[in-house]
Amino acid sequence: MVSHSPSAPHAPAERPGLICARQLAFQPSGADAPLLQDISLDIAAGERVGIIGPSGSGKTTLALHLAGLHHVALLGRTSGSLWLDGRDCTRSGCEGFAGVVLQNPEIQLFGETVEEEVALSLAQRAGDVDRARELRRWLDRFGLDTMRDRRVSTLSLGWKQRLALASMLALAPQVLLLDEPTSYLDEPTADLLFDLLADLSTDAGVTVLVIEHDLHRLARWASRLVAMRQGRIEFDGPPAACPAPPPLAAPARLSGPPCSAVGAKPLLSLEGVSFAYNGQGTALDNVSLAVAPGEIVALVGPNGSGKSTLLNLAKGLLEPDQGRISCAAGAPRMDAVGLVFQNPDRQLFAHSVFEECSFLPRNQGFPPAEIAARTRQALAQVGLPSLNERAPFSLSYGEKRRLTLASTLSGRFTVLCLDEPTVGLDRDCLAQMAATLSRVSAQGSGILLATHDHDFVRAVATRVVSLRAGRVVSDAAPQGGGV
Amino acid sequence: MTRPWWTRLNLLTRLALFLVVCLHAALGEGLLMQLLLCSGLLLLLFSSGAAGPHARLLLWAHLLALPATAFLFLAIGYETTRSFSGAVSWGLPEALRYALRIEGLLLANLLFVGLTTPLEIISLFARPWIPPAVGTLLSTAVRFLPLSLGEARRIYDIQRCRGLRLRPWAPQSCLPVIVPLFVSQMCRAHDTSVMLVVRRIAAGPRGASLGTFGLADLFLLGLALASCLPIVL
Repeated sequence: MVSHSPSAPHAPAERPGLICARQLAFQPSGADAPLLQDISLDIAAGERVGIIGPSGSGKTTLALHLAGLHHVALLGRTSGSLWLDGRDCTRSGCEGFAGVVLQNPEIQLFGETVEEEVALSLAQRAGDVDRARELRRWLDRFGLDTMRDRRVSTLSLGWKQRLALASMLALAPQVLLLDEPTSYLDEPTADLLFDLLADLSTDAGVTVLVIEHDLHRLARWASRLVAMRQGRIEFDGPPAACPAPPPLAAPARLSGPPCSAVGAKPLLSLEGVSFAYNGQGTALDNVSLAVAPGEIVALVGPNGSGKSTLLNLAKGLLEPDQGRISCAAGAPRMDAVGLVFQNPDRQLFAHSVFEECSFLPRNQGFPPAEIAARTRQALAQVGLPSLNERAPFSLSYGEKRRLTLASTLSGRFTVLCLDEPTVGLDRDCLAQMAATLSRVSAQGSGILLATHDHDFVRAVATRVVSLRAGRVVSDAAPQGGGV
Repeated sequence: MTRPWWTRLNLLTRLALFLVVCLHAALGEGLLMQLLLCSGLLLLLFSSGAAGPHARLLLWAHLLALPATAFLFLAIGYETTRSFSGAVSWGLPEALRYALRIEGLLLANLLFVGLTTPLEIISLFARPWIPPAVGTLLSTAVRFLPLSLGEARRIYDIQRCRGLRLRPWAPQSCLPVIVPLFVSQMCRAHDTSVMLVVRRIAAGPRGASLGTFGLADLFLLGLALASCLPIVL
């Protein structure tokens, strides 16, 4: 898949470390500009390296090279030299050198049950391994021991991510690469993961490379930070020396109805709502919640606490087993509630950005002139007014996320729900998202968002509802600000 | 729910039965036989607990497509015979035969995939005489159907939130589901192949045990082979 320079002219003079790159560059097939340029770095065994940078800066491309997977995962031309564990891997790659955990856990799982998933990894381990003991060890370590017979398809995304990590660590890799591993994890699980990664590098000498947007968490954990910008290394050194970005600022509130209008009739209300998937367990238990005009309500809580289920119930994709959900003026939930999903690739289908964005108002029966006006306004709101004719698939990830938001904003709704709107977004995109939500709430809509990103919650939310095991445990103003 | 005894047959027996049923569904003649085969498979699918929501969704999708299939065969019948009676007398039986063949293959696939874990499939193909790349390809291909069904369901829900209404008589209404499904499956195929390499599944486990054969296995294997003779001969 990858073509390479005919020779490796930049071989290190001395014996190379575990990972050694010299003037490494990568140009994707069909692209005009390289994605990586002039990358030179050495990484020793047991180092904890954090890789940071804005979306599209080349973090994942670099990490795939350092893990020896460029040969199978990337299509393009690698030049310079890359030595992994003393072998020249510029031409050939080095499969089996590193374990990888990607952002989306769903593509990494192959087993039917939790136990089978980890056992599948252990079955690949060579040598004399006590597989039963190892299985217990990894299931215990990630809190999966009580659900070993659960079907993988019934787990929440957070639990799937834990399982993906356990399965990869069960392979006992020499180098572990994690690409935004905490995107779907709650705070305690993310902290647990980083504690575990620290133990792995200290006790077992495993080299750990982590790509992450959360610089604060990364700086606490890493022994070294590599900051990327436009395909080049901008900073390489200890976390203390890395310039920290300013905290995400609360967007300026625009004119409109007062925030959290006291006494206003709620746009969406849930009264004593309970729900269980297939009648098993309890996803939501007696939840009551109301969203007023102009409110931005953040749903927070650990993985599997029922945040996404609540959004799906609010939208009308699910029906409650008990309790009642209603919208202002008795409007059907499917019409009154807009829902923005996490993964933009699951919704984009049209040949142009404009066409994609006008899909909802067209289905809602607006006249052509109003469809065009609503579409233009929504695209302007998210900062994509000049991309009307672009193919949605050619956009960057951040632009796709903004397009999915615009394609909901273009329709008619009174409450906007967003499921993990910050996943995979860099600081610039986050600030843009915060400003857009602030504008929407200022126009009188209610917003309900499920997220693990506490910085984002502090910046935009007017109210924070905390869920645990399907129950509301607190409902209060955010600590440290909000608009 | 306790699964019936026949869901615990040896893996090779299950595979042989699956292949034989596919052979009958694809090549068997006679509408009555095809109808009996489909009914039997449907019964087995629901009694085994293998008919999850995704399987039911796919079956419904196929049933929705039946009118279009019938119309297509009627049109071909009219084009061939130039009469409405000819179109009906030729087109309807042919449409039924075609639909039963497809449903038979689909049901057999759903039943096999629903009753066989990925680990079993991987161990089946991880033989010393099967190249690892071929084994990986086959393992992935067999698992792709249920994964695709789950993905189709999620995409359909997303587009429903955007006002999509599927209309069986307007195939273009399916584009908002089909295009993202195709794109996401292409991405998934790429990412899955990378993960298969990373998790070293492409490399083994080699020569895992295929378990023991009971009397029921031997009897059903013999029956399956015997039922193939009329088709082969």
